[in-house]
Amino acid sequence: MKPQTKSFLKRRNNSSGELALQITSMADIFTILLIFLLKGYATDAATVQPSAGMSIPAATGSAVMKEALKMEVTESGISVEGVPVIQAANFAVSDSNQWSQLGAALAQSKKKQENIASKNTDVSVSSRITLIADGRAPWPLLKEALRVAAENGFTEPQLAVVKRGE
Amino acid sequence: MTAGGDSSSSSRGRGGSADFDLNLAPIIDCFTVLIAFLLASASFLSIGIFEATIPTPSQASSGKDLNPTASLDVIATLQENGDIALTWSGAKAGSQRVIASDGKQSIEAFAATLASLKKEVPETTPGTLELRGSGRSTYTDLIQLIEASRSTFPSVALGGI
Repeated sequence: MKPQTKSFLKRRNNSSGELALQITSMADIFTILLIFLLKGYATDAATVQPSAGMSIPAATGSAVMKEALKMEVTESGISVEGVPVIQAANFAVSDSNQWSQLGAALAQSKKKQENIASKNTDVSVSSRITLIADGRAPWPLLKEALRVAAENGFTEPQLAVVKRGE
Repeated sequence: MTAGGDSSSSSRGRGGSADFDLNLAPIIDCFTVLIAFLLASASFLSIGIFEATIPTPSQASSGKDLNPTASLDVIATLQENGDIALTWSGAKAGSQRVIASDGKQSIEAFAATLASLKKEVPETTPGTLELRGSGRSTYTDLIQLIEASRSTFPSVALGGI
């Protein structure tokens, strides 16, 4: 007697010889993968998508990022929540009048926070701001950006780093 | 009882038996698209943060807290040549310069200086470290200093702003 062997190909109809792929196990694997990926999405408190070509310094002992307004300092300028506000060339801001534009953008964000907080008691106005800067960004540029942020009520900067293996 | 309810998605076996095969192909299609989308948009870069504060003008002008001798407040100023000038006040006053090695700031010496300072001062409240950069210092330099001082000074302020 011929021994019975398990196969992923299941014979559906003996008379026609039609074969059907046994995909139940594949569905199981995909379900687990999907749950795993969705869980990863849900547990990420805040996400950061650095701009292309940006090198954020790596460090150990950093804390978990809390949701806050994001200010990105790159070689080509400064953006607030992904919207470019200041244009720069090689970290140099040519027109100093642009700093007022940064101030206006931050003030608008603050006003938005205050409006939400006035309508929803569960939400409070935060003085946190996440600074995502290129590792080569010079201190004078960062200092000026932080000064403008502090003037608009953002006095608790969160300095973003890439987590290094502890 | 039927599985699925759609007669087109299930096939009745031979001889009228209730042998149903659920058609999983469309589910697999959906899952493949979803997984591909989630993997493409997933961020594999793990971002952490170092919390800092910016001293407001009122805090800076009033200087220190109500009990200035209880804590140790250190100001670390990065110099153009890579040296780090340390001045401390509060529970103990003094200053020291951490000399750069090969034009780069000496992180190990900086961390060791802070650790020895902390050992000498039996403080009741944790002190603060105020970091000030120079024209040549970069974001990486600041992060390195914060990382090195994390164990001794968890509270960091960015000064000179």
